[in-house]
Amino acid sequence: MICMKFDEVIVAGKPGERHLLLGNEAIARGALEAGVAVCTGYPGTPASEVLDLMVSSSERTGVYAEYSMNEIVALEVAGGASYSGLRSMAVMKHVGLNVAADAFFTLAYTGAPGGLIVLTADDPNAFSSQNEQDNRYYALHASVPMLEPSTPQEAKDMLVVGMEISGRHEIPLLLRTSTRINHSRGIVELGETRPPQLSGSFSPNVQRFVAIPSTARVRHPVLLQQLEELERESEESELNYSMGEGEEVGVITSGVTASYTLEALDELGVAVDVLKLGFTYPLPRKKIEDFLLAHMKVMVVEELEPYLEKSVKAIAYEAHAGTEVLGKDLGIPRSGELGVAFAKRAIVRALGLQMEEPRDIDTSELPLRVPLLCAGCPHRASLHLLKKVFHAKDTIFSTDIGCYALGAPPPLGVGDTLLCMGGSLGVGMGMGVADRSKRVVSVIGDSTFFHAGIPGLINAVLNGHQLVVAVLDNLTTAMTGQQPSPTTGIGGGGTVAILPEKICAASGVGRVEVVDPLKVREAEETLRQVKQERGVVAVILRARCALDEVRRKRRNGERVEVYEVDEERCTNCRVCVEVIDCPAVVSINRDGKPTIDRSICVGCALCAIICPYKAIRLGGERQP
Amino acid sequence: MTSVKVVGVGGQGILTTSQVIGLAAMRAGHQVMTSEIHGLAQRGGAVDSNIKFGKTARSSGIDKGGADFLLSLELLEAARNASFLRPRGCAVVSTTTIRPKSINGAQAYPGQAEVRRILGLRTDVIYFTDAAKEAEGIGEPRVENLVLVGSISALLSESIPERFFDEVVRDFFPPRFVGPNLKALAAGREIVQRST
Repeated sequence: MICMKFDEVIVAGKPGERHLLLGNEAIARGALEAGVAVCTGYPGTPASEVLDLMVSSSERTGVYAEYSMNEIVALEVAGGASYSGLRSMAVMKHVGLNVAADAFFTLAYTGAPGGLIVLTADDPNAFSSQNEQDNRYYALHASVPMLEPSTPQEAKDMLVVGMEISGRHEIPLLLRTSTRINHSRGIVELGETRPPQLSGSFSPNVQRFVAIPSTARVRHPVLLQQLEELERESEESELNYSMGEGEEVGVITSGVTASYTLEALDELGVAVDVLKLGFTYPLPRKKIEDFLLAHMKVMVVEELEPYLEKSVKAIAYEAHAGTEVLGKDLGIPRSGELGVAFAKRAIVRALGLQMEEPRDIDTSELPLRVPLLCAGCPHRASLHLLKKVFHAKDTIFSTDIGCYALGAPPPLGVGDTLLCMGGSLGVGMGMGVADRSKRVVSVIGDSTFFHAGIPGLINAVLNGHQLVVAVLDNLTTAMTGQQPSPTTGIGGGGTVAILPEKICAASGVGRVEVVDPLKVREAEETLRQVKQERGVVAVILRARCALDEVRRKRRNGERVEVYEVDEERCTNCRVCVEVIDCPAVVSINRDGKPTIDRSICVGCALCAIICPYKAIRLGGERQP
Repeated sequence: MTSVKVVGVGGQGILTTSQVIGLAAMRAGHQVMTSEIHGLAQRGGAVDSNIKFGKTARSSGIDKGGADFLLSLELLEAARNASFLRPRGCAVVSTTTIRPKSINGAQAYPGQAEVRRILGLRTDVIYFTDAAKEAEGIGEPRVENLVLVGSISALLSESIPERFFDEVVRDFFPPRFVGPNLKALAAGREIVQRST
């Protein structure tokens, strides 16, 4: 249980050293090798560690790194720094680029004089996301060059090459990764770090940096001209290359799928030409054309959308190539994550070969293991109370993105909708308009509230909606790895805390209450009062994240209280098991009385408070 | 190329386990790729990690039927991931049980015999290790995962000499954990050596 970290390697590793680095560690090292001076972003799996590393190393490296309030602010800050000549980078997960899209599209027009990398981390299979969008289309849509690495080594190297391209063309560049790049380790050979140029200056140019109709009409053709130059660069780029010696069949692939494809070819032992693309917007049209003309049949193997396939087919058509182009019709799915097996099946099908695969073993009878809110998580108490006070049949709970979304399924069952960051408010208002017989409670965490909840809050007041806003404030951005939140001071403690209750009051919310959800009875009473109010009301349910609380106790040498079940009093009524779903309350089967796992109980006492028979009591202490 | 799938429950030290195997493989001169799934690791969910090493290691993905080794830090998770083993692959399974906190306990937690039966649909090369008992004997419950690493290191010794695992522990762990982890490696090895 001792996690190894490679922070030191990233900051101080020497050129030529080889280390087993996580894709995100390699990207952070790449930023230092690229001379990035400003790094911004908002945490989001699978990209979070890049920003964490840039922030934690910033004192040593001199890089200005910040957890921005959301992705569009992050991109604006990075864009502004680039306007003033600094090498800049903005880091976000795929859906984060939706938030930043407004800035992203127009930054392509104004350009980025100092160089600007936008890292977007896609999440095929939606391991920790609300969708599986393919962000390669953002490059196409915004006319911004794009690089796609296949390994951690390439991710690092492409940051350096990408910054060079971006700086030379003064245009933002999209570095598109996916979970299996960000969260894979591979052997990475380090290059030389480049001391960042930390101060710049802005040269005003109204025709360029003030995006208004008259300048947009001038800058758009400039961008299109740049794209032509970038296509020539893509044509000559070493990031796009072919290998192998097949004549009949060729494969075109990019990103993580390229590694699956190469491995599949190794395993099948077939000679097939591969055109591996790393510079995937603009595409190297001539290179693809030549590859098509050299083969009877070309298959495109790619994860998610047929981004390459459509272009390759268009190029084949325009070149009158007569080459058969196959892709998704080989049975390569448009959803989920690919793997070596998918690539193998596609190749086998295209070549008309046979392959035997072992049948899956049926494990549907095994008990599921779903992630739960941690033992002692204050969100459990908050959600339990919200459900108790606002009965489910009279209430719509619109929830949001964060740990508390784990409380949407039964038994907590607080979460009828979840759409996007901050969506709990707007969606809730819409449902409230549609069905005025229901109360609507919007559940939103502190970091999400600041990220995208505030405009919704103001909208609710401004337009006279009926809405209960429950801000579950655990004083951190927990789901992505305990990054700071405005309620703790976003600068990591040094800066002034910004409190949701003050924002609510300043926005004209009629009644604002702050409660500690772990003081269960008091919190319940306040919620009952709030329920009587009309208009927009806000309750801030504030208690420190259980993980942080245990860490705090460990640091201070404090003990953790643990609870136990009094076997004599316990009637096995199962309230503690079935109402709050705490991982510390263990019940092996319905016939046996529940017990409490002392090794994970952190003494929040919620189970003891809700036990109708007072059968759960303090049972000593343990080391945190 | 050799592929190892490590499975278990969030909090058991799966990422450390895969890092130790990956680093030892690297020291032995192999190409290495590993995968980690982050995000829900601290929430008691099922967690897995892949390690692939050899002359080439291009991707970190392991498909069903593709793992040469399944290393499970928990009994139920071994059964759940049985499909990942290739036919006649090898399973190294901790007998540690972490019961899922399903709300009603409707589905029974499988016993060791049932887990053996499910894995047996792929292979009969199965090593059960009571890693918790070994760790308790060492006096440091947190080295349970390294007991399992010790067991698999004995089975990988032709491609990764065992000393590289010891080296990785010495070089990467905080000093006070080096001793217990080295003992854990030795204990894990002995279990496999005794049963072969």
